[in-house]
Formats: sequence, C-alpha cells, structure tokens
Amino acid sequence: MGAVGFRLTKRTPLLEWLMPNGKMAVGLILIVNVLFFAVNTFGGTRALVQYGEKWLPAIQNGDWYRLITAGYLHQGLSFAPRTPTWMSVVQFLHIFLNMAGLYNVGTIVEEIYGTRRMFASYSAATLLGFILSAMWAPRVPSLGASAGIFGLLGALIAYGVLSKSLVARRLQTVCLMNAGIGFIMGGFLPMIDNAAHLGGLVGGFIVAYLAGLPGWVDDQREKLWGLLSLISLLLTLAAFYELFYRVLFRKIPVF
Amino acid sequence: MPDGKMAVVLLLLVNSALFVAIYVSGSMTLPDYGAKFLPGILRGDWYRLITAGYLHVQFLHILMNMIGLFNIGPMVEEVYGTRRMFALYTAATIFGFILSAMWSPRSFSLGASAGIFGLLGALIAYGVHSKSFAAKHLQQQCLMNAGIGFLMGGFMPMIDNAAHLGGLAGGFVVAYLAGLPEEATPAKEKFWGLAALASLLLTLLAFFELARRIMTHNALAIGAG
Repeated sequence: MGAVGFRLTKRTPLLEWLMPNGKMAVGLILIVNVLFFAVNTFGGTRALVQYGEKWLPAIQNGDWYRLITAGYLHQGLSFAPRTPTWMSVVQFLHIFLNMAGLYNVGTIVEEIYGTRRMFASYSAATLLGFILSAMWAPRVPSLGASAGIFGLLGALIAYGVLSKSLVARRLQTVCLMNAGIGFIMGGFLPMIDNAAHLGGLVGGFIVAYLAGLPGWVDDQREKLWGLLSLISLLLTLAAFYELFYRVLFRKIPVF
Repeated sequence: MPDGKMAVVLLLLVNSALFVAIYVSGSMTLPDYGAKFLPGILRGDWYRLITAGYLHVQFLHILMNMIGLFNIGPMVEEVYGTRRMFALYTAATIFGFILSAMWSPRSFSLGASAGIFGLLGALIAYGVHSKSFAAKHLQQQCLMNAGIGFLMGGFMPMIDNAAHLGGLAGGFVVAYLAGLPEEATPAKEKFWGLAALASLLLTLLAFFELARRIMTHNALAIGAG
C-alpha cells in the first residue's frame, strides 16, 4: 500500500446521480434513518420510538440495545388534530439537519478513513454519546443521529492531528468551529441533548485517532479495523433484532 | 475566527449586530422599513432589495444563515478573492429579492439566504471554471446542498424559495462572468475592483436611505410588529 490515503471507488451512474460524492456507509446510514423516520411518521405507532430511544430506567432494566438504536431513530411528524405546527417543524428539522450533516461530514470521513474505520467510529460515537447522555440526564429520553454525526466531526478533528497537511489543518479548524457552533446552538435552544453531542465528539475523536489513516498502516491493523467494524455491524444488527423483538412481542412494559 | 476572511467576517458581524439590535430593542421598525415588500418597493423604497439581505428576526433563521455563511463564505473568498465575492454576494441578494418580489408580490421577506445561495452558485461556477478534482467535488457538494435547501424550503413553512433560487442563479452568473482571479488580466481585475466598490457604495447608500426613511417616517411600513 502506498503513501497516498485516497482510494477512489467505482461508482455506478445511478448512485452518482442520486448522491454525488456519496459513499456506501453514509448512504446506508442515511437510508436507514430516513426509513425509520418514515415508519414513525406514517406507521401510525410510536412503538419504535418508545422501545428504541435512550431512557436510563429501561436501559438498567436490560434494554442495552437502546444505546445503539436511539442513534438511528427520529421522532415522526404528528398529524393528530390540535398538534401545534412548531412540533412538526422541530421534528422535521431534527432529522433534516442530522441528515444534511451526515451527508456533508460523513462523505469526507468515509473518503479519508475508509468505510471500516468510519463505521467503527460512528458506532462508538453513538454508543459513548448515549452513555454520557444517560449519565447526564438519567430521567430524560432522547434519540437522534447527532451523537454519531458529532463523532464524524471528532474524526475529522483527529485527521488534523494525524496529518499535518494544509487541507487536514483547515478541515480541523472548520470542524472545531462547527462543533462549537453546535454546542452554542444546543446551549440556546431547548430539547437538545448536549451530553450526547459531547460524548459522540469525544468517542469519534478517540476511535479515529486510534484507528489512524488507511494507507500508512500495515496489514495487521487493517485486519483489526475490518474486524472492529464487523463487530460494530453485528452489534447494530443484534440491537435492531432486540428492538424488533420487543416491539413485536412486547416483552417489556413501557412506562 | 479560524479561516476567517475580511468580507465574510464583516458580513457576519453586520448581520449579527442588526439581529441583536432588533432582538434587544424589541421593536419591529427595522424589519418594517427594511424587509422586501413589493408595494413598498414600487412606491420607491428601492433600498429594501439590499437591506432585506442583512436583517433577521428569528434566532433559528439567523443561526442557520450564519452557519452557512461561515462554512461557504471563506471558501468563496479564498477562491474568488474579496472583490468578486462581495460583488457576487450583493448581486445575488438583489437578484434573489427581485425574483421573490415577482414570485410573491404581497408577502414580505428578509434574510441573508439569497446571498448565501449566491455563494453556493459561485462554487458551482468554480466547478465549471476549474477542471480540478477538488473543484468538481466541491461543485457536486454545493449542488447537493442547494438541492437540500430547496427540499427543506418545499417542506417547511415561511421559507422564501424564490429568493433562494434567484440568489443561486445570480451568484452563479456573476461568478461565471467574473472568472478566477489568477487567470484575469489587469483590466479585468480593475473592473471587478470597481464592481466591488460599487456594490459597497450601493449597500452603504441603501442603509443610509433606510436610516433616513426611519427618521422621517417616509416609507410604506409593513406593520408586522
């Protein structure tokens, strides 16, 4: 493997048209998030949200999977009568801003770090973000992809530490600035889980820093991160299996 | 402010200062006299087409716009230089609000988003000028984000899509005509210096006019507040 960090993957024209600069993991995470949002909006049930969001009493009761599934769920829009418009606006903005951030930051991270490292750091960021959030606000439920997206920001900040190039430095300052903007926004606006953001940022930074850039690492480490991303994927799938099991068979009472 | 550039920083400061002034004073005088509002413009308040691009009332509105300005503006100013950047920002704002006035003649609107979509248009034009991999990548990213913006505007209430579209087109056209500074002849460079100066004078004149109308109560106030 040479010294150059970029490996261009083959693209199909259809995918190129649908999502320019798109990458596999970003595309899949985007589709999964939007699908769950659509189910929560049009499915006529809040079961996915109730069983899948981060909520410490339930986690202590054995629902470990919530720490992962919460990162893929967003509240659906409510069309019930007498629902205030601002609620729908807030829910729409929640998924919309997260997906715009995922597309803009995620494609860069996946290009630089590769799919394996990107997915491992995204999963770790989600997990750490919701653990910190559960410690910070034990009684408040929360959900959303933003912990993972702050993890992507953290990965790009780590890129500025790993690589001394001008591009990496500039990307790092822009990402630091955007993380700061995110925390300022979270400080001023209600209903924002700053603890999850902070945990995600730290988790993404640490994992990306430990992972290093593909290209100047040997095959052993390449295998290690392949294995870790596979473990992340299996853990995510197991979490969703647990979630669907609970939703379909209602083994644990809600509230 | 890391990566900050002069024009971007000034635009950020002016927008934030005007938002703080409106928010702290609790008075809707500035938006009343300065927002885009076709009956007022037809009556002779030409300055509204420019001042509307610097005024915000809602926190979320200015927050989103300033995030966009901070993220896109430094790139445009780095690629095109301060002169071309300010000229195309001003042109995009004016063009955006002209299209908005034609599209929705009876409603008023304000905000920096027309200029910010102009910055997106400029980076799309950069992908036409330069065939480098980075320019192409940036162009695709900007096209996608403009699409995201229109998608959001289509789903959410209170968003002026016509101003966005006009700003995008205006910014693209001016940036395409301006070309890149490193390929320009001295005469062209001088022309764009003059264009930036004219934009600056026009903006200052618009704000002077806004202040004069407020002092003399000589404008068609919207009465939103």
